[in-house]
Amino acid sequence: MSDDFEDLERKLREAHSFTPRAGLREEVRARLRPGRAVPWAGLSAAAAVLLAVVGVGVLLHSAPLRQGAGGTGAASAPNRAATEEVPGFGRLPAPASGLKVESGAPASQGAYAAPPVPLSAPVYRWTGTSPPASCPEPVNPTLGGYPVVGPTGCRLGRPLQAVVYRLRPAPAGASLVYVAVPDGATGYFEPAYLLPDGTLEPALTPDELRP
Amino acid sequence: MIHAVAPLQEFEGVYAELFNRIYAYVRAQLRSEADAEDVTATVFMNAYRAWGRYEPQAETPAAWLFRIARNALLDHHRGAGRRERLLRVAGRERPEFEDPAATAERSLEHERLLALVASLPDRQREAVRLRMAELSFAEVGSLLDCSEDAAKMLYHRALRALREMLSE
Repeated sequence: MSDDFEDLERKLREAHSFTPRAGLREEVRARLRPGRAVPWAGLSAAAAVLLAVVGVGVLLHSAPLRQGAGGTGAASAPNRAATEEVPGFGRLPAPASGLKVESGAPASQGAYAAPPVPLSAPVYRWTGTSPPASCPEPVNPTLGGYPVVGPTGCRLGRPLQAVVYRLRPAPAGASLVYVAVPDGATGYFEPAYLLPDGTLEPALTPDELRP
Repeated sequence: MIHAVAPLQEFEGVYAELFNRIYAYVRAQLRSEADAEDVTATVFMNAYRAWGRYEPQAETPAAWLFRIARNALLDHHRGAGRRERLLRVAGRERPEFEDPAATAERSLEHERLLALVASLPDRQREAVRLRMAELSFAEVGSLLDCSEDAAKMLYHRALRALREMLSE
């Protein structure tokens, strides 16, 4: 159309011509690199978690749910951790099965109000041979407000990476917790359901777990 | 797993070609440079995660990426709306300030043009913005769910409206 609009289009192009500042392209690119992790921030005082218990375990089920392209998606667990979301973890190691929380279960503690079970929740990956967190408080603010049930030993400040996975429907009365699942030189905090009787069940779907 | 994640190197071409265009498209719609950078980063993070689901036969990489950018901008505006409502409720309403440095570097005429574009009906406005981001009419049509011809009509209607506004 028309030459009539040539001048107007030229001005419009000029008005819409913005150039990113130097370095922005590389900064954003760096955020796309798998393996890069942002250190936990703000894990000061009341940081984290952990209630004791049984070893690692549990099983799982899961299905990573990446948020869609720019979409706003289903409800997901709040992620207050200063972690970095990375492209993907692939199929995850299954936690040990048949574990039971015998005491100190978050759901059994009066002061602990379990957050609602979301439709999806992050899986967190750590590097190193042992879980990076395990603290005396019942709620670990670094894992989206959900408690961690697993090995003890609190060492905060280690980098974590996060990928959101879809959760299977929660059994009646279950609350969401995290279990630590070592995997060679790395490991994961994986979501699991803590049932009222202390039993842990996988919160992820089976096809997300390694055979 | 719901989607496969493409290796970064496969995404690199799209990133290299479209980064500046996406940034300019986003920046023209946001007052704050910092917000524009955040939204641009979100666009590429979301695009990278969704790369395994991209179907080249369905649309061009540019149309696909600009679709993601439009969604990210919508999310941003929704979030901004919530923040403003919260501030109002808290009695701390605060006008959104222009970034003085950014404003200074742009001519008044450009600012006025952007404001006029923003005042266009939704689809006309989007047609102009997408064309200014160098999308073809076919790509604009794909994003606006209309034919290439309809996209052309939208765009030219928008130009006519802008010219009228400028002459007032």
